Amino acid sequence: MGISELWTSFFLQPMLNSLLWLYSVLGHNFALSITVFTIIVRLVTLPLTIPQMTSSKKMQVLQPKLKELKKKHGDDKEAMTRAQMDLYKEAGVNPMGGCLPMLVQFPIWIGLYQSIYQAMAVNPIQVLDLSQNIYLNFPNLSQMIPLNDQFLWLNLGRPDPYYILPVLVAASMFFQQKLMTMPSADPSSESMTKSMTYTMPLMFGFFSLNFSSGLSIYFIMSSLVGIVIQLGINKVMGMDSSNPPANEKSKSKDTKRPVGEQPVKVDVPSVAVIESENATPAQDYGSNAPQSVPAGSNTREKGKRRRARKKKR
Amino acid sequence: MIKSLLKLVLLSLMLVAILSLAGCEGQPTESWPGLGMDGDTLYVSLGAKVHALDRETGAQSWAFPADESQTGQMFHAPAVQSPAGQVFVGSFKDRLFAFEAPGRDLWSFPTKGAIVGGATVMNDVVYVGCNDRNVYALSAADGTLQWAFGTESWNWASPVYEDGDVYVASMDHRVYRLDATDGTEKWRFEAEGAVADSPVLADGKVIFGDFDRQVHALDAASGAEIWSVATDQWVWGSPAYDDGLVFVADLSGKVYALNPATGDKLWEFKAGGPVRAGLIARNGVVYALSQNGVGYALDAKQGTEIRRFSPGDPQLAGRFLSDPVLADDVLYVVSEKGFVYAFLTTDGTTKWVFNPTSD
Repeated sequence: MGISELWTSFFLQPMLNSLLWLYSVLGHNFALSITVFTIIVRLVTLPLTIPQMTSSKKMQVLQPKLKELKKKHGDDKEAMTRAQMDLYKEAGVNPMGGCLPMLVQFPIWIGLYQSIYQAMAVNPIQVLDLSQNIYLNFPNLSQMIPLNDQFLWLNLGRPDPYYILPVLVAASMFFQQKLMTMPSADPSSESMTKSMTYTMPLMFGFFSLNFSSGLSIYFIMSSLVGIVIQLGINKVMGMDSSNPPANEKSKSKDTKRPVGEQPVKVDVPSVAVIESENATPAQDYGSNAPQSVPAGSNTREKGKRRRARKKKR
Repeated sequence: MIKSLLKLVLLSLMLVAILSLAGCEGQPTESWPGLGMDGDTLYVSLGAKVHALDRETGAQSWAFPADESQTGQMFHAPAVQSPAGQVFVGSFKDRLFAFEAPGRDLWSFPTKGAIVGGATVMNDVVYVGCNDRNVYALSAADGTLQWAFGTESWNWASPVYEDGDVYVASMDHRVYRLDATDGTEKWRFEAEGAVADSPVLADGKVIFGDFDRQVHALDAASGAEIWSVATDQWVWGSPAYDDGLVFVADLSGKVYALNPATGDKLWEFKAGGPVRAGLIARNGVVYALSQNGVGYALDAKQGTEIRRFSPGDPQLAGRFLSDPVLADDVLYVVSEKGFVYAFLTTDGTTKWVFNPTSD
């Protein structure tokens, strides 16, 4: 069995048949089926989504400290890397923690997308492909083909003639990107992230001008679910959307600070600082967040021990 | 390193998104060709173009239109009205086109949906089904609308004309008998699955297969079901009738011979791949094309394989999805990628091949 067959048997077919089953129980409304199916799949993958998003947010919280470290170590990359690793370790953050869940989810998103695309077969070649992937023993599935492609003003197999869906795709994706954006200490990464925030929604909005409406509905629903999850995580982590990320505030305050007045550099941030930041609302972060956040005794002890270790070295 | 990895992941995500989104437009990026014949000319609808080939040599005489952006993807053979030589073909551009040799535009009729099935021309009237849930009857001379009949889903099958009536199979799971002059419904039959190709009329019966894996025989006069038989997979292509037997194939690759009076299965033959194309039965031989790029000649009485027809390089040719044409001991087959093969039925050899890429 090749990769293609494995993919079809273990991802595409189960998802496709589940989607068709939903269609059969939701009154043969394909737009509703796409919506419910997208929500279900996003909920099922929540255990993967939450660590990814949480990790991103934790990284976000660390950005002011990373900036301080960068200022401190300058061009000494080795020292910077060491300090960075120490920071991550103490904060309990795995910088790769967001990548793995995302990579695991990726096949699921593709499977979800492919199953919607296949179920929405509108031409004979697509219907022929669909026929190869329907479980024959699944009751009444064959009888539902072709699926009802009418929903409100839309023909789900064709692009939205009034361009409402492309606008919604771009808007929902932009809002989601905005919420998920992880500021970076590195200006080049920061600018790339920013450009992604604008280009991705624009790109998908543009694609949606030609996409079948069913796929546009999927993109919108997927973004909306992502937004809800992200807002939930932000709330739990005390970073609701009304509060900009720490380093953004720090940036704005930095610009107001009189010339010559520099923020106090932190030696090494501590777990307690991070915990404190996590537990307190974002207004506690600022340009001077490191010195204003009360470090616990535990933190001071750790700092002393670390300095002692350094002296020894 | 982390940044590079993140960039790589983001770029991969974008790349995969773009690649996987290619081809998701409302318009299909591919189609399967159609093959029709009139006199000494073969008509091949391939992509957005119709090619006229000399039946004897396979040489292209002309092609229509010059600008393919006008027409859109086609999925069925053009219909030809003899002896006028008018050609009618529908496309995914929501339009039926009429033209004549050598590719001169006559008229076009706009619809509100794609035209997948072939047109049928009879008595200067063109009958065609459409994805806009209508079956249209148009004047062959100028394309004016005679009547339209509404169904509840797409219509992919070519209407079948007989004795002043047209039989329409629809994806709405129904088969209709309509008066050809005004489109009045005489009867309708509700099947369990979509009916994607035309029925065959035999011995006063209307015989067709559906996506619910059933073959049905109806009384042509009343529309009442006489029998139905289960198959292993969806039945897509039209059945064939010859010498008191009905032949039908399904997407599992099985070809069945049935008794038209009772529906009893007389034999089964398993082809090497799903059979989408309609069958041809003539002079005691059944011709079936399987998707794996092999054509079969079967003994109509026994179901035994007499001969195979195969292109030199099945990978190059692609699947056999379109209905074949049989004339003068030559089986004409068009592959998914537009190669047209003229196979001699006497020995299975290839008389000529039309290569669309050398057009």
